Formats: sequence, structure tokens, C-alpha cells
Amino acid sequence: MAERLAGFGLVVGVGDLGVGKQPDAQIVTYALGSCIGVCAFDPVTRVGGMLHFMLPQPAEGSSDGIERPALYASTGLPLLFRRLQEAGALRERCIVCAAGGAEIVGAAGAFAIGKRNRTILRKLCWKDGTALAAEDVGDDFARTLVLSLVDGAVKVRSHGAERVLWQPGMPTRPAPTATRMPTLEGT
Amino acid sequence: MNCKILIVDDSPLLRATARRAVLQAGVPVTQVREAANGREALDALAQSPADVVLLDVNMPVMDGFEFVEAKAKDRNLAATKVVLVTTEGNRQRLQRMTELGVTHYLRKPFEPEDLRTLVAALLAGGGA
Amino acid sequence: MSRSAVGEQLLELAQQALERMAFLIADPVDRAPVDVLPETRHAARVAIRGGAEASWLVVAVSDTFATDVAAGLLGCDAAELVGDSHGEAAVAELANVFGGQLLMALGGDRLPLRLGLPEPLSDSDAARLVLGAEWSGVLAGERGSLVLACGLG
Repeated sequence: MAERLAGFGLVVGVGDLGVGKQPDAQIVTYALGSCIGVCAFDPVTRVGGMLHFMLPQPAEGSSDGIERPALYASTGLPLLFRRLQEAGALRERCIVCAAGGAEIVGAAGAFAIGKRNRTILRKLCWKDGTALAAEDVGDDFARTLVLSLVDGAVKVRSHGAERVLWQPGMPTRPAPTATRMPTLEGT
Repeated sequence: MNCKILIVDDSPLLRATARRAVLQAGVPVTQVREAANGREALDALAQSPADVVLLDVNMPVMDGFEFVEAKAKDRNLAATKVVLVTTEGNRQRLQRMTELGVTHYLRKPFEPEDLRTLVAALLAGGGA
Repeated sequence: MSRSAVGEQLLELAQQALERMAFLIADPVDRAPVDVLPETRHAARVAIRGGAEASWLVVAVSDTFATDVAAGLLGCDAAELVGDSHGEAAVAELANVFGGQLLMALGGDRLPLRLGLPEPLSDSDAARLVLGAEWSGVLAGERGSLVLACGLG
């Protein structure tokens, strides 16, 4: 089914990133299987960007991290934030979401690339203090990630359906997982 | 953000991890202190109160359970919130901790970002 | 649950713990723990008391594995960690966390079991305990290895 993007549409390919600030634009990336799409949006300057990384980090000794930085989480994520800042975004204001990292049957599944990508993303976010506002990761199906530069709304498409991952009015920082003291049951 | 945090754990590595989480949650570095066991924690609180204590249980000298019991008897510490960050999972011991005023609990192994999120929520007056 | 089933469960829990806390993916490898021990640099033991007989757990890690655990927890690059203290601290905390998991696998949520404090082990003591363990296994990270062994009371 053909996709029609409202207004200007920026499509981010595998191992690529894109940043934009056209007010009626969308940024989209497709085929997030074991790959992870990370999008970030500054609600004040309305600058937004998206990264579609495929692997956690370049092989030791390889120059891939320099030649193709967006292919990897370890080089792509810092690059995404650098490009956002160059375009006028303030890092601390950015609302960051992620989707993908599925366990896909086949070669990628054999190497658990989805899990490795999810783990490296968590690691990098812990390292640089990024808190994801929302994420839709894991499971075993592919996803499409869409970021609207109108208001920063983020949508995820999978199984022919679309759901809102984040939109204005939702928290920009994650809520804590249930950590109230457990109580005894049945005593 | 005027919130004082006391990190109590016998592991210097876990204290440093918790410190990172607390600073990333927005607490100024000057408001964060550390203690290596329950006795040191009580001494630190006697000198200057804290708003939140991140407390391990399994520690030498005075463990977290003994600390919570001592804290419950001290009216000066009534307003201090205690968050357990621990391997402890025994329901009766945790129930006793609840009766002694502990409200939050993060079980090891925890995701460091969860500790950051929890501290941020507590500072904002929330928490799960 | 059989003793070997407890051991296998413990290995899986250890994998999950490393991933959760230290962002470290480690997989079981088919190597004899006693063959891996000479590669390890830091070891710790923790006891579980309160059952009919005491249970115990030993963790031994290579230098690079310990560094990667510490770097994960601290949110820094491994190259930024110098000195030895982080290795000792890392293995002690791993013994504490895995010990807590073993305690729960033995029914610690409802039984009055208590976890002891982690104690550092010499190479020879670690080898003796691993050799005599009822169950032992090896996890391999991207860099380095971890030996896990337990005695069940």
C-alpha cells in the first residue's frame, strides 16, 4: 500500500539519520525489525530528528564508525544529537522515543541483534543521561516509526495498525515502574 | 531542586551508581551524601537531615533492617523517606519494613535508569 | 526442583541480572569452569543461612569482565576505569546480587533464609570451591568470562 506523507516527508533509511524543522513535515523510517529507530523533538524550536541504527557498535579496528556512523548505535546516537543541536535544538528539551529491536527469525535472530540493540540503547541513554519518554521495542515483528514536526507526536505502525507512542500532554519522562513496597497476601 | 539524598550501601560501586542516578534526576551534587552502613547513615543524619535515603539492606556493622528500626524510633527522622535498593525479597521482612515506614523498594538487579526515574518521581512529589 | 535445575535457573538469572544492571550480554558457553578459572582475576563467595544446611555461591570473573560490569553500572567507558578496586567491588556486588537470586530460587520469599555478606576469595579457595561445587557454569561476555558455582544445602 502506498504511503502518502502529509506535507514534506523525510524518509530515513537503514543506517541513516535525518533532521528537519519544516513545520508541517513528518520524518519516517520503515522496516524496523531488529534495528532501532530513535527520534527526538525539541518542542520549543520544533526541530526534530530520527536515527535508524542496525547494530550496536562497529567491529574493533574497523573504520565503519567513521564512514557510516548512523549504522551503529554507539556512533549514530551522539551524531543525531549533534545534528539536532546544529539545527537549533536544545538537548535537554528533547523528547526522545524509540521503536524496534525485535527478535527476528533468521540470521539476525541467531545473533540476538534485537536484544543487543535494545541493550546498547539503554546503555547509551544511561551513559549520557537521556531518559526515553516512550518506547515500543522487542517482540518479534517489524515496525514503522513516524515523527511529526507539527507537534512532536510519535506514532508506531505494525501489523497494519497505527498507535500513538507519544503526543503532547503525555509525560516527557518515563514513569517509574511499580516500586511500592510489596504487601503480604493472604496472611 | 532543594532535596537532600543519602545513599547507603556497603558497595562503593553501587553507591557510585546510585549517585549517578540521583545527579541525573536533577539533584545538585552538594545535596548528595553517602554512607557505607546503617550506623554511618544514622551518624550522617544526626549531623544533617536528608529528605530521601536510598538504603541497601545487606550491610556490615548495621544492616538496613536495623537502620529502619532505629530510624522509626527517632522523631527527628520521621519526615525522611526511605527507599530500599536491595536483594531482599522475603515477604515478612518486607512487610515489617512497610510497618516501619518504608514506602518504596527497588529490587536488585535493577535497571539503573529505573533508579533515576524513581528518584525523579519522588523529587516531583510522586512515585509509583 | 532438582539441584541442577536450580543451577541452570541461576545461570539464566545471572544473565538477566548482568543485562539489567550492567548492560552486559553474556551467554553460557560449553567450557569446564575449572578450565576457565585460571583466566579469572577476582572472586567472591556468599553464603545463605537459615535452611537445614547452608548454601553458598561463588563468582569468579576475569579482569575485563569485571571492568565491563563496573563500566556498565557507572555509565562510563571501560578505558576510564583504572586500578583494581572496581574489579573487587564488581565481583562482590555480583556475588550479592546472584546470591539474592539463589536465595529466592530456594524459597527465600517465604522461608527465613538470610544472605551473608560477600567475602573475597583467593584463587586457590575459589578453585577448591568450584571443584567441589554441586553445580557450576560459565558465562562469556564480549570480553572475558564469569564462573558461577554453588553448593546447595
